[in-house]
Amino acid sequence: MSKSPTLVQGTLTLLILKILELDPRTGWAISQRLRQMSNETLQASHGSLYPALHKLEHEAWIRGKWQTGDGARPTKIYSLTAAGRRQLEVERAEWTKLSSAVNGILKSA
Amino acid sequence: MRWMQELLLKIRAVLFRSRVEREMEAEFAAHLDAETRDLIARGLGPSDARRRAAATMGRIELIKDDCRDSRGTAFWEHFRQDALFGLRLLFKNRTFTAMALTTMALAIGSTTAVFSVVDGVLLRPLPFRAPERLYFATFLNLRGHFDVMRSQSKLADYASYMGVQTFNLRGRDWPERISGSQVSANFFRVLGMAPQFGHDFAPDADRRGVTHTAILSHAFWRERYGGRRDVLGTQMVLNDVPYEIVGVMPDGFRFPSPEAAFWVPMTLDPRAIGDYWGISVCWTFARLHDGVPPQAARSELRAWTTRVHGMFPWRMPDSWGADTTLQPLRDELVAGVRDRSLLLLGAVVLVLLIATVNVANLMIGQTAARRAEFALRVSLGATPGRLARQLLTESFMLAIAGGVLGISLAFGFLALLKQLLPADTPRLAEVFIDRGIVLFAVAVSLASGLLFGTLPAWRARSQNLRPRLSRMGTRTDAVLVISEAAFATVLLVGAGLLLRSFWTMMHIDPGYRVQSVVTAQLSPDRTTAASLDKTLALFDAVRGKLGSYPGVTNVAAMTQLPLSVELIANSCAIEDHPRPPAAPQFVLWTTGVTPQLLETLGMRLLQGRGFTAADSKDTGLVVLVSRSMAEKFWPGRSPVGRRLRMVWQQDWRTIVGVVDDVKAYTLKGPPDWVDGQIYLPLTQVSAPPQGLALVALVGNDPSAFEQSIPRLTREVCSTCAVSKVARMATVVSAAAAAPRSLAWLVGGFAFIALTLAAAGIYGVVSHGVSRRTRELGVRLALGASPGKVAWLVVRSSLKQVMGGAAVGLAAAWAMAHWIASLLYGIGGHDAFSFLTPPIALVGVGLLASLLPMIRAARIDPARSLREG
Repeated sequence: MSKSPTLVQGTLTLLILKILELDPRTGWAISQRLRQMSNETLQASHGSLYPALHKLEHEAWIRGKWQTGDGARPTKIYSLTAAGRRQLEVERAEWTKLSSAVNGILKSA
Repeated sequence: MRWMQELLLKIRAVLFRSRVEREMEAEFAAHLDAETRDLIARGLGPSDARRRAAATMGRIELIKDDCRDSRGTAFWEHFRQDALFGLRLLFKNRTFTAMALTTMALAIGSTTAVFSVVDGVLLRPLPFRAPERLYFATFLNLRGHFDVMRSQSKLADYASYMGVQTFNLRGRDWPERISGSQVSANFFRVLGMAPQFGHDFAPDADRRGVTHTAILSHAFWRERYGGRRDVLGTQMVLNDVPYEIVGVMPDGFRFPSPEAAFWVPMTLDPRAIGDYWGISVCWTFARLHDGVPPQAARSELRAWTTRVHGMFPWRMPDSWGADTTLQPLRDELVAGVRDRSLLLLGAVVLVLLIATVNVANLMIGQTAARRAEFALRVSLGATPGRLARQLLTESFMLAIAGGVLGISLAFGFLALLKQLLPADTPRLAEVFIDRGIVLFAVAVSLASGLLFGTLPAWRARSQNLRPRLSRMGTRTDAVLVISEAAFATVLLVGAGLLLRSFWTMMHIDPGYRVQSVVTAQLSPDRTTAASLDKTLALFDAVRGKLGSYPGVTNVAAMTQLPLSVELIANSCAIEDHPRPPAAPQFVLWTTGVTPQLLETLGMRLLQGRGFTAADSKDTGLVVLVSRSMAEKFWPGRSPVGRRLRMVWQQDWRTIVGVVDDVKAYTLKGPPDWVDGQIYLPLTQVSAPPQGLALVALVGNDPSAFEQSIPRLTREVCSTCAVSKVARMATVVSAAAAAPRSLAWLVGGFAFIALTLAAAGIYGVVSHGVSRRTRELGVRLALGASPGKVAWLVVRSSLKQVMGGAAVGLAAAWAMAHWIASLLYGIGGHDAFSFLTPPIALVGVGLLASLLPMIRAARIDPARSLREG
């Protein structure tokens, strides 16, 4: 449940898309990757991860597929769609612009 | 592609909700599993690991809700929930559902049926090619005028027809009287219609000296010729003249009237001056050429009409042609029924509104009963908006179900309506329920659903914010009762006016005998009809034959029956009322009668003498005038001995008597351009009549005589056609067909409205008693008498009914001028019709409150206090 430090609104989408850019993963794997990538500093609560995943799926940026692996339980694997790939570029560009702008303000202040 | 994935997921989320939910659960379970395994791998014990994993997962139900929201289908999911819940409720409360559905279905069904008539008669384009370019030429009624326009117009094609006339159709044994229409040769071409078989009239078919041709209507062709194609080229003999059948029109072509069994060309012959420039009236319409604005065509018509004024062989009044212009053909054709149809639509819409209010009322009763459920839902976190939505969903479901039922009822109602409406309603056969009408019904259902759902929904919101309900509740009740009473009052006033007007019409003294009189139309062959002497001899023979039938005491004849909606008018000069040379003379309605007519029909002679057998073509010309004409021209003096003449004749006719007015032409009397009515002896009419209306006075039951008339007549004249055999009472009743059907239909709607209003008032009062049980109990416990408590219950609703009635009366008063043109014998502001509805409503309101009042008076204080 810990939310610290809080994810900036909207960055979760960017991060999910970025994580799925390399290969398809389950929701749990995404949450693990999120933690690792940020050296354990970013912990997206599952309370926001899964709704975000479902939202992205409904936006058709990612696609969920059920797989029955060697284990007994079927798991849902998310992968990036072509539209998602384009969206990732859009979000990345926007983030770069935003962060450089914020950095600029912080430096000048 | 992307939108397809989006759409598929949304549809899936709504339709396969449980599967989507299961998948979500499975996904979370898989997540927990993976997390647990990971923790075990990091060295935790299985049960600790499971606990930690669950803890990091957080409140799973909240996450689920967020996930559901993220599907973007929350609206539809809620709708699904509401709809399913509503459906269960509707099935559970069967009485409520049955009442609401019946009310809505009846109201929507009748509204749809009436609207389909309005649509089919008034709104739908005429079934001709490019009907929007067709215009009716008003006051273009002379063949010469039409002929000039047809040959001279550069902007439009003019065509003409002569209404529907009857002809003697020669049969195997004796002639039959059938209806047909004389039309200009280009009639069908201008309408953009062509025969289904055969060919159209030749372009010169309306000139003198060409072969006579005829085109049959589809219905007549099927009925008379068994639908055989080889009828083309054969002959039919009309008024003893052979016509070659050249074509058959397609099914459904019914212009200018469904009665027309065939069309034959009219004759346009400039040498026949009387026919060409006067006497018979024709109706003219025009098809504007592409791109011609109506205004341009109107100016052209006016310019030519001015020139035509100078072409007349005699001097026309200066005002002639001033009103000639072009109007859209459809508007002109249905002008006579527009007011009636719209009135009917207004009446049925009022019924629909009352029905809607009633259902709203029923729903409010329902929601009051569901207060516990709503309270529970609010405490579980439902917002007032969510509750309102639940109620709206339920009312929409009711409305749609009511609409579907209503549409199926509408088919039956429309069939019934077609029976009840006067048969001469134009285009009635073209009325049917199509996709557009169904869409209309669906829209009406949804609108009424919104209407009757909004009030309870709005009330449910306020109710839950303030659990103890208060003024808000009574205020909505008041709105319901007041509006119901107001709508019902308007309808009752309208129905009262129409019924009273109809009653007046039926009970007025027509000025002639209605009982024991049998009439028939006698149409002799061409040679007889062309000679007055032969016609008179024929009548004497027929009179001898019919007069010898047992029970027949009198037989007479006249040129037109009193209510035939036909009149022969003559321009007459009156000796002591000279007119300036340029001014038009007086238009007098002229009827030729035999000496026995006054006695046979029971018409009253007020002054002077009637005609006798001595008045022949060789004696002095005599004339009788009607009372109103006598009063108009010779007020306070006797007209007997004064003289008048037809403008185109030299001989003066002397007035020998005054006859009381009769209801003739229509029950409302002749058109207002008629200056007076005169009667001539049949021996002295200026032209031989084309037929005679026989009038017989029968002492005993006339039905056997009625059946014998055609046979008896044929015995003396095998070439005569006999038609329209009917009792005078039937003729009078048929003349009142339109006001009767309108009065009964609107009266029926008013009755339904009154019943609905009674049910609504009962609902409100009864609901009020249940709501106030505790308060009334306290009053009774403190010593109020049961009568006083009962009065308390009824007082407020009675006030509301009266308030509503007052509003309704004011509205009806303001709208009365619309209905006035449809009334007979009474004004639009007839006091009786305005006084009865409020009394009836209050009476019905009291009656409806009776049961709840008794219930209120019998409240047991002890019990009500314990339970409240």
